[in-house]
Amino acid sequence: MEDIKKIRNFSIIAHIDHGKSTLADRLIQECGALQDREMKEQVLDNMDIERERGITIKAQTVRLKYRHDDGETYTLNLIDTPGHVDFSYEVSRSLSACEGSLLIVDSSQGVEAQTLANVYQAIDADHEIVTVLNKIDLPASEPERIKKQIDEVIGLPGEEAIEVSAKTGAGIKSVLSSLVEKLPPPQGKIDNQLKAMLIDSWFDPYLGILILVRIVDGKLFKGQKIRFMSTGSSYTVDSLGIFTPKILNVESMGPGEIGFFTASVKTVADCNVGDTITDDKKPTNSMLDGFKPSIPVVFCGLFPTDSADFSDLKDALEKLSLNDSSFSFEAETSAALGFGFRCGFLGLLHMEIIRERLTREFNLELISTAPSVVYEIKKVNGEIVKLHNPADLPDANNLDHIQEPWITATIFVPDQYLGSVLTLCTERRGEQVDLSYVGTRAMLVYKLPLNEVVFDFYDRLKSVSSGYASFDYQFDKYRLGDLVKVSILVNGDQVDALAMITNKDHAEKRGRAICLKLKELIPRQLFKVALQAAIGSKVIARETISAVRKDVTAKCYGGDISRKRKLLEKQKAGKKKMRQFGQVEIPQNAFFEALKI
Amino acid sequence: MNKLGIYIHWPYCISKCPYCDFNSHKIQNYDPNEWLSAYENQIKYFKEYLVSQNLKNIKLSSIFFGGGTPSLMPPKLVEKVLLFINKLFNFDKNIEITLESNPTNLELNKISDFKSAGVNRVSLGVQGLNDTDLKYLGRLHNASETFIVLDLMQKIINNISVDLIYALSCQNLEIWNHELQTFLKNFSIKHLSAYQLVIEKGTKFYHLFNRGELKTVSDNLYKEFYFSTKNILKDNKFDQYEISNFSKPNFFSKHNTIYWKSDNWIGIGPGAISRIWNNKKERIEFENFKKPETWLKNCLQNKINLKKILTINLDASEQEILMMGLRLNEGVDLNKLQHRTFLNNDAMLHIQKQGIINIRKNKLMINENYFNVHDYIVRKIIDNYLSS
Repeated sequence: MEDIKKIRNFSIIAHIDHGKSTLADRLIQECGALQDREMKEQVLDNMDIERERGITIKAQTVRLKYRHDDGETYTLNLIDTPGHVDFSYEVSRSLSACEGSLLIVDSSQGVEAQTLANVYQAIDADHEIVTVLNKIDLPASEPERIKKQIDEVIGLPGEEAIEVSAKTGAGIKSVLSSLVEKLPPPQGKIDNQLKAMLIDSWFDPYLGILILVRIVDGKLFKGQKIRFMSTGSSYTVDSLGIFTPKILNVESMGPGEIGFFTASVKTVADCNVGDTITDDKKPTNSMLDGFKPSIPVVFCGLFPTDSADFSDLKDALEKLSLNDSSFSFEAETSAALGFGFRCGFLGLLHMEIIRERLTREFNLELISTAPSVVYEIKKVNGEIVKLHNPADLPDANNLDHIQEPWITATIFVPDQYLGSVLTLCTERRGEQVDLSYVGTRAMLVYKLPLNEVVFDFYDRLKSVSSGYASFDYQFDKYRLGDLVKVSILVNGDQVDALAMITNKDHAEKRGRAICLKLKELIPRQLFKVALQAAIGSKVIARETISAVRKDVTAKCYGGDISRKRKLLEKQKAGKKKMRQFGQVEIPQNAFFEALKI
Repeated sequence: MNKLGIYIHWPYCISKCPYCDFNSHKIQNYDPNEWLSAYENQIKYFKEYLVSQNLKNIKLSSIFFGGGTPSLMPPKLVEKVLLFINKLFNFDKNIEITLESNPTNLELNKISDFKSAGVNRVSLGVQGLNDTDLKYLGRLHNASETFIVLDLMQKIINNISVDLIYALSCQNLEIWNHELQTFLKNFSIKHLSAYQLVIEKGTKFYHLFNRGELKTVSDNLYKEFYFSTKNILKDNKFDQYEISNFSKPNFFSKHNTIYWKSDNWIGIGPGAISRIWNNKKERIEFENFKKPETWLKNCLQNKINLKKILTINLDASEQEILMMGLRLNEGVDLNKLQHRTFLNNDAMLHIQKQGIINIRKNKLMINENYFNVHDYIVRKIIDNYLSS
């Protein structure tokens, strides 16, 4: 067990691309936790997707041994946190397991939207903060200007920031000694009843379900009977371990320590993030505060391309949810797409990642519908319903009102792009809260309906600012909306998977745009196909796909048959990418692409 | 499936046309006796196969000399091949013996000899009705020579079929209509094959097209070309019996109908393909070596080899029957599709309701107004859709 006075627990927080994972790598290397030959870039990003996209999705932990100038050896527990806005809840759970944070700011780019969002969370969690200016080796680096920024924008003492280059290794030693000197050791008594916070849990194919905990009070040891306080279920601890970052088994853990245990837990449903774990025989009577569970804010339908794959999709979703308790799924039936699942995600990136993992790791071909937010519906009879699927919106005469979620968005953007970003926000029904300047960059605060952000706001923002704008948001509140359901009809039949809820003033424009897009996406058929957008029974837009005019082999005799039949086979395979809807064939990607307008 | 035809491939041409993807080669020195022996050996090979399948008494309905340019063959060679076939097979009394020919004076001079050899039908590669179109298609003859040859040839052989290629980017629809009408007025044609130009892989046109140096007509214009051609032929008392084939009553091509009705045929010569129903009611495909030298060398041995012999599986076989049969105006006999598990009944019902396909007297046919989308319909019918 570790001496609590020599433990320092810290999270790393930063905006995407400010060098968080590289700096973590450097700290690991400096403490000699891995031999040079074992280092691969971004050790902590485990998943292929993480390494490919250069983002961290799951928080990772590592225990480092650091020999300080005072001659003592300290234990540093590092928790790497995701940088993307979708995963801010992961940040909050990492923060609650630590006493301090290492804030990284790119010395050439300065403070960005996520820097701010994350640092405020850390301050809220009463963290001591060690600020680091990274990438000082770059010619564009301006440490003095950025230090001033940190002073002015964040309100932290900029002059104390440590100048570092994770790339060359400059300044890494000062980071380690600052962590020891500035961060407080954890509190907690080993003689108290066991109180451990469940930080995360995931499924490992060799070890089963691993549960990551931070011991607050008492002692966790092998063979101990423990209890999850929120569910009351109890288990016996099979093994304990820490990440160095290699797995190292230990016999017990005391206050302030971070590590995992296994206890033959069968379902992740038992592992509520933020739960308090205690000794089954000598339980504590006070639970830890825990933290807000993550709530899915974006929903979309996922359907197997081949309906025979339904149960495979179900298995895959269950397996994924073992590693990621933050997404939800429930069975859904669509007239157009058959049996599938309505899935909830933390944001668009989260959705993309899950979809990509289903395709990549489980080899499933999927059709997804366009994402939608959660509306709050009040029916005439007073009943309040959370609406996850636009197709389920009750009839107008049953409907009292619809509320939609709004967010508070913070956007940092260089001066020259301000105009186009303002236009974008206005188009998306944004309300300006604040506009201030940080040097030559504007900091915008806007209230925006999530509905307008969910689909392609981030892409558009990046494109109108040539990639320079940064963006972060927090849920604000539900507000009454002037919203309508726009149905899409193909040859007179409603396609449930294409229905959407939109602001009334935008309905006609969006309806027209969808019809146009569908006209591009749906190939010509044997007959004319009418595409309509409608609110209730009122048609607001219309397009026509004309019939196919030529699809025939002019010459076909005895020598041509084999070749012709093989061609037919090939074309048939292509047809698998189509859905038969009524008499019309609709390509599977249309259900997603059509609403991307 | 009780008809039998023989196809004989002659692979040589004076020059290769830019649109042609057939197994044809520029003519070179050859020994007619070698070719005769090779043809005979392969005919014998198939005769033995038919006997082994209890088909020795099957009557021969047609013989077709195709190519290449079989009118370049010495008439003696044609005669000896026909004599040999006659020794081994029972000819139907109305047997159709077709020879493909270029419309030039060279052929005109040989036509009587071909006739005395037994040829009773000529398929004439007219292709274009004016010099611009002929030049575009890379043909060596001009229009006036063609018309003179046709006129004189008709006096010797009554049953002449004319091949035309249309819907060229150099053509104007009104002018084409007028030319076709004039042509039909001036010549009493018994049979006409009218093909829209198709850019086939591996042809000179294909390369030009890919480099953007050759234009094709739009799908819209294509459709107009197709239906106006079809109507003009109808007005001139032609029956359209297949997507691209038109005939005066009783002058339809017996040989080609064997393909469309999925009967039996034997393919002799380089690259030729045979399909025969064996005694287990399985369809067997035979494929000859494609290169003339390879095929020739092989067929001069005592025991000859084929490039490939395979049994076509039941599904594929019935799909072929459907695909080929739907090319005919009369449609496909549903009795020939006993298995038909690949048919999509829902899709069929949908398009039947719209009058795109019809079922009459147990025959399934495509409404002729939809011949321009035949392939699309076939795919639709045999597709296993993901049902919703």
